[in-house]
Amino acid sequence: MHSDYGVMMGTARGQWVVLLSVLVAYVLSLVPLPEVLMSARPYWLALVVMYWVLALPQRYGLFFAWGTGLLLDVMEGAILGQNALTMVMVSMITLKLHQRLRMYPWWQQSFMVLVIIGIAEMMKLWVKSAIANRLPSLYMLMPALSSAFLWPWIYAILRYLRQRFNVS
Amino acid sequence: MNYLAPVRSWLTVAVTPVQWLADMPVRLWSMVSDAFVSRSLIQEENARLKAKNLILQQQVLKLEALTAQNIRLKALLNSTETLEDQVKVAEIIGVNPDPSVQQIIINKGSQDGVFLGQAVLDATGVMGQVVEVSPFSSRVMLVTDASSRIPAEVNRSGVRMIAAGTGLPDKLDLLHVSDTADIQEGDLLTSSGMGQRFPVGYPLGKVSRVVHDPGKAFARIEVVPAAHLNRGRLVLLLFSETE
Repeated sequence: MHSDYGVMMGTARGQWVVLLSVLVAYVLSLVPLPEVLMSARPYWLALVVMYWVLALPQRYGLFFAWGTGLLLDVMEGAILGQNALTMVMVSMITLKLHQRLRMYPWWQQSFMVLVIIGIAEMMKLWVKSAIANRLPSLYMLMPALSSAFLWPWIYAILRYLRQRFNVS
Repeated sequence: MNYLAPVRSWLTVAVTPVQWLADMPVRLWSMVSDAFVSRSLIQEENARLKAKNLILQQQVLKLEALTAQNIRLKALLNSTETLEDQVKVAEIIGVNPDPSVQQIIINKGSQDGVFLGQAVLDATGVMGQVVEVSPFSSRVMLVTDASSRIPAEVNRSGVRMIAAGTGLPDKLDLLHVSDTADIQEGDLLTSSGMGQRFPVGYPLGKVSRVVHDPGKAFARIEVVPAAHLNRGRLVLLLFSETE
């Protein structure tokens, strides 16, 4: 009981793994792609942040999501707060559901990722269409599809890294 | 109104290394392909460039005479003299990852004298304008962005209108042009300098389609931009000295 408590609230270990994974997510979301693939670019940052919120909800939560989202706004040149808002939304849903999500088999997790990132993409579209004349189309759900497709791999890779470097 | 602009500007400095990192694969690839290009190819290219240089020099000779003549004629007309435009070369270090936004990031910022609203060109025409400046990089909205508008005129007939971006990478629309306006397919469009933002006389694009729909109040006219918006890495920042 006592040691369990120590693990729960002990000093953070291996935070560089988390920072590195976020950095890789940033680079992947900025790398130039051909026109065709561009509209289906997965929401990399949301995937990575979702994993860490799911794995270590006592350490990574809304502030983490907000900060990483804000930096993505600056990198993408989006209006300040657009990604911050959607990332907070994503991590809030993940936090609310984390105990259930952990129990799900991979395909069910992927489906939940589809729903959560679908909601995130819709919020992004609301912000964009409020500030500029963007045409809403169902293509905006492509990132949610590709993200859901990639989730099992992201999950496996990050879980391996977390166990290998004892991130807590 | 814009309290967050300095915050954004400094955050941009903080994330610039990440943008460089994201650009690295493309940069490395072009370095590698440059390093392994064959000798005969280089010789061939060298010969071609020499020939082209000769042609360009001949055109410059003519241009100098014409410029001198133009200045003399303007002096006769008592109009103000337009000074020569200064340019600075910048390199593209990123594109906006959002497919619905036509923006590029260049590697010059306020430290190099870049300012908001500055016109950006390439060798073939107008590319866009600077919409965000941070100390070491800046963001350029291309003419094809859905929120871009440029005052333009037809080179042949002098008809003035506004060219609007469509959000598609190879199409501009001309706004509110009457059906009787003298515009034909193939006409060259140049910047008219009316908005005081883009300088006069740089090529903007070629008219590719003119549709006169009796049911619409205005003609629908499509333009293909002259600048190579999604090719090449170098752009020109324009410093006009007319003021």
